[in-house]
Amino acid sequence: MQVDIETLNPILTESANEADVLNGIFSTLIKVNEEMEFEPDLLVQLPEVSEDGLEYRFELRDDVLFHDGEKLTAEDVYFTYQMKIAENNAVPSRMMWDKIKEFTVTDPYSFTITLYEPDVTWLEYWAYADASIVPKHLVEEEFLANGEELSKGGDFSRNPIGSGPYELVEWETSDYILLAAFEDYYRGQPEIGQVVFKIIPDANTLLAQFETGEIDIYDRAQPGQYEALVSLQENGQAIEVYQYPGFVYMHADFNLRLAKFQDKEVRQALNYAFPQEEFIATVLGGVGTPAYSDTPPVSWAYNPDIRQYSYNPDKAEELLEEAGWVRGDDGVREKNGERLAFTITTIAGNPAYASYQEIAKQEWEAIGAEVELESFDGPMFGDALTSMNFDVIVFAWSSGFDPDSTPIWHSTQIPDEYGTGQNYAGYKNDRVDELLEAGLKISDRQERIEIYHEVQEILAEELPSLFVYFMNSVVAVPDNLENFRPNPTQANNTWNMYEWKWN
Amino acid sequence: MRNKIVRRIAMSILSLLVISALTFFLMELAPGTPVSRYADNPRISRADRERIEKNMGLDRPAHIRYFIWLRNAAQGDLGLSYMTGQPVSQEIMARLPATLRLMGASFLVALIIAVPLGIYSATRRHSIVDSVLTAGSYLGLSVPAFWFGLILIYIFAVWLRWLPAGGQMTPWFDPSVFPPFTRPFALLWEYIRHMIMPVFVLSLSLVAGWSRYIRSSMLDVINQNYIRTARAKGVPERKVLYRHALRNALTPLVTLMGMDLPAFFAGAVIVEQIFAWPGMGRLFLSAVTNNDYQVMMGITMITAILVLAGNLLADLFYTRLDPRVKYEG
Repeated sequence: MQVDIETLNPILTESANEADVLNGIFSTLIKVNEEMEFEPDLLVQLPEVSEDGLEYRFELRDDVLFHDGEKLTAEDVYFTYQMKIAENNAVPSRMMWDKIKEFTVTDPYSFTITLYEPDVTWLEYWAYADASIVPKHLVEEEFLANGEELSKGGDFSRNPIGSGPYELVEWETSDYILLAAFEDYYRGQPEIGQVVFKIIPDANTLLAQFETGEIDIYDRAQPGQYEALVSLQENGQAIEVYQYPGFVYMHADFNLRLAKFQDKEVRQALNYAFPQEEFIATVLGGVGTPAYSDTPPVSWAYNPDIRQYSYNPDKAEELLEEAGWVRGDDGVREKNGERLAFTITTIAGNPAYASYQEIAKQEWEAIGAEVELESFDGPMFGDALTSMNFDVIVFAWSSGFDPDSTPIWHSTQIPDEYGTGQNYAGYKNDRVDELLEAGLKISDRQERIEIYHEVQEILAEELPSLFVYFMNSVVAVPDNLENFRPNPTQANNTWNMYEWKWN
Repeated sequence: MRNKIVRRIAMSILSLLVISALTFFLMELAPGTPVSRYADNPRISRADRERIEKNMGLDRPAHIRYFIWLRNAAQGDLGLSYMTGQPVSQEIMARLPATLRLMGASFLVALIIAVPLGIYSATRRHSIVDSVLTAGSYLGLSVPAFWFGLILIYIFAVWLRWLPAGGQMTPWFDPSVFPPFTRPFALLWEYIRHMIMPVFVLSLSLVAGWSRYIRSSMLDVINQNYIRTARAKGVPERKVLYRHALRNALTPLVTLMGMDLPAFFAGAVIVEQIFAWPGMGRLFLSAVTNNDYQVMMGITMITAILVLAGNLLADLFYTRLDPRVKYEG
């Protein structure tokens, strides 16, 4: 991994790095497997849902032990939930936990959860590392001692005790984390005795260490390194290189509050004038999947028949003419005294974003726009986005594998109007609102497919955002590592560490 | 003398105060807060960000936060990191030894190489060796550390497989597999092996600068009257060079070393990044990218203290070496 670990308390983190390690130390109620299906983990079976979609009944296994020998019970699950919603805790996100109305422990190994309103996306969040079950008997003490507050840097965060396949042995800050197989893991002791997570910030050094065998698994390799990894394989290194599309998509959002972006022809024209496929082929070396909406091909809700915009600058100019945008003396198009001039903002330091900016500027200026470029480092970029102080903004969203995208497209999620949500573009569409609302209430997958197919159709037609590509994940592992099954969801590739073995 | 040192220390404390205020309010003026990094995470809502900011105490005005920081810092408490929730002093202490080890070794190696090279160049001026060394030192000064570091990694780690590509120790290294009396050596070698490349890269730029400096100050000294007198009196050349000339030529180098410290810290950031060295430079880099104000403040203060102390020591040392220099507070 390239970034330092911040904390090993699963309650207090959501980042992918931490999740990689936490998957080893902790267990979750359910898992999402590589086929993106739910599997019970700490549960005997997947929860039963009541008719009205409000009540979920869970039954726990009774043979699960924490690393200190204590049994894991429903009290621990309840406590974990309480920690997630406690006001003072350094929990990053409470969104999914705030949907819970009532949590009732019925006996040591079963409990019931009632929601305020039906929401089928909700269950997914019990499957990720940040919903790992923590031992009440250890964490509660720290919580009470600090005035009912868990700090990311507390004792438990440095010395976590979970019920997962591995125990923490040593955590050398900025250097490595060493785990050892847990004898009493309920599925049986894992075959691989020790696992080390090394923290190596420089991607070239990481590649060198992978080549020399100082590291065995190179996860989250940058797209640019895919070729290098493949050539290692071709040169005889005994490795397997995986590349697969995931749920993270890069996109350019329009600020729809601005008059110049209110004609959908303008947005479509800009999409026609951007050579998406060539961009993926050259800039990303093919390590990416074209996006036409926000739902990736790996999703069960993916609609392959939506409108696509293949590169066609002539068509773009035509659309602009039709919409009344005519070239002025300096070649820049105007309509009602408004010039088609804008700035593309992005996060500094990401080569793909920078190339997108450069290419877009060149191509869009050719069809009569005037384009300025601007890149900010992380915090400044965050400010531009959340204050909605941008024209066109380029970045990536990572979504869960459920196709619901209410926080991003529903009109009640426009922050400057409702004080909540992440619809920074300011997109409003009654039909989309209706569909998204309906999608949360229906659990039948076939019916949901129809709903989300229509959402994608509308998005591809209206283009509140230019969808560029779905990032492909690249991971390389030794070819004698058995049962390594890459997982495109936020469950990460360490989701089934307990099954790994050398052969 | 003692009074002057006390005055000097008082000045240093004042400098630290000014540095802390400048750093704090400059960070405050820069856009973004520690929670801005959550902006492009669709799971973290605006309400979440406001709650986190409030928990961090960031909803209070900046000048109040500064005085709180100052009061705590005066008692040795540098606050909690916004990223990890760990005390900043602990975060720094976890990494400072690695940084000091790397820097100390590089300073030492640079000194050991630069001094003889400088003398050799000075005494055999315009020889082929001198020209080669001159060219070499320009190369050393102009080669970027990250490029040089990667080249070394490819040669010695990937190609020859002699040295590890990064880290400061093999995670599963267990000295007990060695016979008891060799264990300390095995452990020492484990450390040294990981240090060779980063120390070499880091000392290279110093060697280049220092050897040029020693060369020219040696040349200066050699042409002074007292050297000529010594030679005329028949003192052996070796003794003239090493007893009389070198001592005087080296004195200014001490000041130069003190002045090099801040730039050296900056250079260490890159080297730590490339060689995955778990030091302070990387902590600082991640603190900057994530707006972790507390950690940035902490590191800035620790670095300022080290640099001020380094310069103070250099000056004191200087007055010892050259009694002509009077200590001016």
